[in-house]
Amino acid sequence: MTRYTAWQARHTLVWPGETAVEGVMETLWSVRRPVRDLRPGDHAWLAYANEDEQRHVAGAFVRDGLLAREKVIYVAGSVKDAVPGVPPGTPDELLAFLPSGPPDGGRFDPVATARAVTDEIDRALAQGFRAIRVAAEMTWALRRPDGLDLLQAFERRIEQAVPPSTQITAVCQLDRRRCHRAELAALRAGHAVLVAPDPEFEDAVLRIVRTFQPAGLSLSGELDASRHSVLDQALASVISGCGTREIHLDLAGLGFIDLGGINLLTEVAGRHADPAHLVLDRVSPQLRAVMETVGWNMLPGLTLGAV
Amino acid sequence: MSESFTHRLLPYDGVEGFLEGALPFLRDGVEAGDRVVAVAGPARELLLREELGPATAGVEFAAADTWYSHPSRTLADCLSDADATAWQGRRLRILGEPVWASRPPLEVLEWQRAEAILNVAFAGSDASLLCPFPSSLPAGVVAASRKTHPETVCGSRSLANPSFIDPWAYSAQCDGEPLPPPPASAEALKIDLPDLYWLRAYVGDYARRTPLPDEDLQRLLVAVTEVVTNALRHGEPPITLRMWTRTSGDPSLVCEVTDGGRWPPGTGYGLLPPRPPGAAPSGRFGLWAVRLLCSIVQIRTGDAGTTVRLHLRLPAVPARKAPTIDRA
Repeated sequence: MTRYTAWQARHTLVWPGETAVEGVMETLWSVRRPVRDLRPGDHAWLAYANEDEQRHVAGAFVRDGLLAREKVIYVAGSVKDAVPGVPPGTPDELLAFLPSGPPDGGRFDPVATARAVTDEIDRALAQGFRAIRVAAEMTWALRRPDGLDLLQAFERRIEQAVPPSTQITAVCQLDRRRCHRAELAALRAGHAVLVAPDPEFEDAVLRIVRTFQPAGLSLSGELDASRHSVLDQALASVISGCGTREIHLDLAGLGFIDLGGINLLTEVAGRHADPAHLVLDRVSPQLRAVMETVGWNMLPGLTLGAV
Repeated sequence: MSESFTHRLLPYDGVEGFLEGALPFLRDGVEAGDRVVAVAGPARELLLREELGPATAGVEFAAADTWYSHPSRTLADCLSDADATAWQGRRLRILGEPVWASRPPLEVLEWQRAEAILNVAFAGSDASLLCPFPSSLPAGVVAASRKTHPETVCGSRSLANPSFIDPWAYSAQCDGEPLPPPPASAEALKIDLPDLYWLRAYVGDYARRTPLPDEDLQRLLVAVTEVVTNALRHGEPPITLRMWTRTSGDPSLVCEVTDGGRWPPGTGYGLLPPRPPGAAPSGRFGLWAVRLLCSIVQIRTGDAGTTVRLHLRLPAVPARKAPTIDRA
């Protein structure tokens, strides 16, 4: 027992390095934070891969705010855009929707839009709101004439309002599919925080996070029988939610998986009438050695993916 | 299925005796269109190729030392070969002479057990296995071979083997002797928490002081986790983990899990591969995989409780060079 506690004292759990899942180099000065860890003063960035990721991340940001009775200001292109994550029965005064796109083909007006946002903020403060969330979906603005310059001008204004504040949190969203790499890089540089999805599960030993491109889960830490059920749940929600038949598991951060865990993966892969395929990405040589010893013929439905 | 499974012993004296039994077995297979495999060392292979003449083209040769790498692995590979061959509508025929001489006693025991268990594993297949045993082998090895092979080849005939015993009974005999007690130097850890994270940290910490390679450490961690998980689920407290290194004989890292419970009869002890693959409940899959992950697994279960002892062979570390004294 003495050696055991000595080990405990010597080692503190450190999550393995965060991964750049967005395919763009992360700037050195930016931090990556799950939605739930965003704090007032954060001016955060979300370049989502698809609607699923937007719902998951921006939707959680909106929902958490509304459920906590905070003011949520949502900026979008037109009245037709839906606000993700609004719980049923949300009182009108909590949510301000600002459709800011000018008529077809018109230029985006960064000054007017930023003023609409700051006016809303001032109103909320006057009404006694102690916390305010601003969520802006700006892909439409980028696609207007001079979009990048004007959007950057807008971002500068938001940057002037948010980081000094102890009450405002902001998330700027862009649809990665509709942006050029260079545009994303330029806009992203103006944000000190990258917002990530909340983990599906997290404790001192295991963390499970949704991934969206490719669709799946990223696992870090160690998985054994005490946490099979949480992985089972997380897998079930990915499979039911994303419709694709191929689910990717990013195992780069997974230091251990037990036989029951491996068995669970094959079970999940075989559970559906249309068997899902589980692709295991970035498996460590040690885990690969275990799977090879067990034999891939014992693991139907599992394949090795990216190294 | 036109033929039924055969597993025959070919006791022989000298090269002539070997060829007398082996050549007809191989030739008949080639003629019948079977998939014919001869597992042999380099010298035997050369001899067989020469004697077989044109029939050599119909025989696959496999090197004995890689073929007989690990009892459970070899059994699984043979089974899937038999399945694959049956799919093609052919019969699998293997001539295989296990490597006995260079093995430490614990391994010999496991190979003998595998010879017995394969009778169960292959039942229902149409494979045909012929195992040559030179009379020069130690008497114990020859005697055991008569218990594990249902038939003996005698000239052109094969006779039922009167010493053959039920494979599971034979396997139980292999475990008849109590395990030697752990050495006084063994480190012991009582396991009372279901979270095995710290247990692995402890095992990893110990193993890193030995020359065990990283990949084997991972195999050990998976095996220990499985055995302890089983003990927590189905066993009785107290559950204790002990670790030590065996330096005499075959150097190995030993990891033992004991608990106060007793396994129900007929558990199979992970000796048979789950079939069809992947369909087995995780418990059975588990113990089968534990055997594959370790060099040797010893199990004793009874009124006094259950002990599962996992051995992982340690790579030979070159002995430290004695300091040389310059006498010039």
